[in-house]
Amino acid sequence: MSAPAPAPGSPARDTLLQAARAGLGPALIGYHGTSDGALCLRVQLSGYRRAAELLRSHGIDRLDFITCVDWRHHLTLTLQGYGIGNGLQVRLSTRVARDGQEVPTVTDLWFLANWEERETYDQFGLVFSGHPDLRRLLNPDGWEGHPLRKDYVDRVDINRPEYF
Amino acid sequence: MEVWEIADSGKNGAPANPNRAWIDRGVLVPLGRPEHREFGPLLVAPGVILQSAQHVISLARSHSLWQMMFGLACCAIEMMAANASNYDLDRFGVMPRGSPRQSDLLIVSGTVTYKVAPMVERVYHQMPEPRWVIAMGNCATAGSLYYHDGYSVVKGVDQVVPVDVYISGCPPRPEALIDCILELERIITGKEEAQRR
Repeated sequence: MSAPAPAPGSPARDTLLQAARAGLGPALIGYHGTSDGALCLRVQLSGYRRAAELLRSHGIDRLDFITCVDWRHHLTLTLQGYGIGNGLQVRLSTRVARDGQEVPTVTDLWFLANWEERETYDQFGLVFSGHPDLRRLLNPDGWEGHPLRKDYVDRVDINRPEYF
Repeated sequence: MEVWEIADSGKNGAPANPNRAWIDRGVLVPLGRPEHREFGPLLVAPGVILQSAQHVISLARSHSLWQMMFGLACCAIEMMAANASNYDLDRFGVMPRGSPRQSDLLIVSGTVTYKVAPMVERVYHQMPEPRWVIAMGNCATAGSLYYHDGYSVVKGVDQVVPVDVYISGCPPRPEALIDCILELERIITGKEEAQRR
């Protein structure tokens, strides 16, 4: 059993939200709460690193995952963290261009981010600047393309019939 | 194991069963599949078996199939269950070994991805001859769920190593694996091409 999540509007959450609004300024695009008490922050890419540092300094000491969604015209990077001490669950999202934009790494904040960012790079082709060891994690080295992108061409599946 | 039947000519010298014609010649025949009988060992006298040495060797091989400890996915759970005390593959001489140098049997139990395929091939080549391969489950047989859009999955392990017996199922039950082991024993002792290996 995990620690009970604080009700929406708990002191820890209000403190974090106020700090985010003060510290990020216009880089904070929006925020909302979910029914399970999680706090979702949407930030610009320029404020992503600052927001991550802010989460880390406000007790979000466990990184749940870093993942990505391909919306065909852009990618959305999502990071979820959990505060073991205060029971806060926070999601941090930022929009990244499909090509040419690099995301600052958060490896120095959460150690787990090393493999999570490697996996995101592997499957989505998102480049994390400052990552100490940005290699593919799941697919073999030398794999062509990034499989979870919507425009990925599966060269292996040569027998795919038309009606599928 | 083969089931033996005591020589018994029928009444009045006629064979009791046309399938028992060999019994009338005073030999014991193993009961089993018809194609199995002609290769079965013949007991010409009490305590004397007339058969080629190759068959005896195959018999020994088929009853001590040491298995490579090599689990890939959820089929490995069923393989472990088959090895454990409820199903007890030790009865058939199948014992998991930690080294491919000591193994005769490679059970490819689970999904073979392109990343792990070189390891499967390497383990196969590290095993001494004679060696046998079982493709356990739908994934190892043909890619299963990952046949379409499974960008990372090999469509059947027979693209990597030669396979002797396939099992279907997702995952197959331990009974299916035991049936597969018995089929492999029949192949090893019964068929000509298997004897030549």
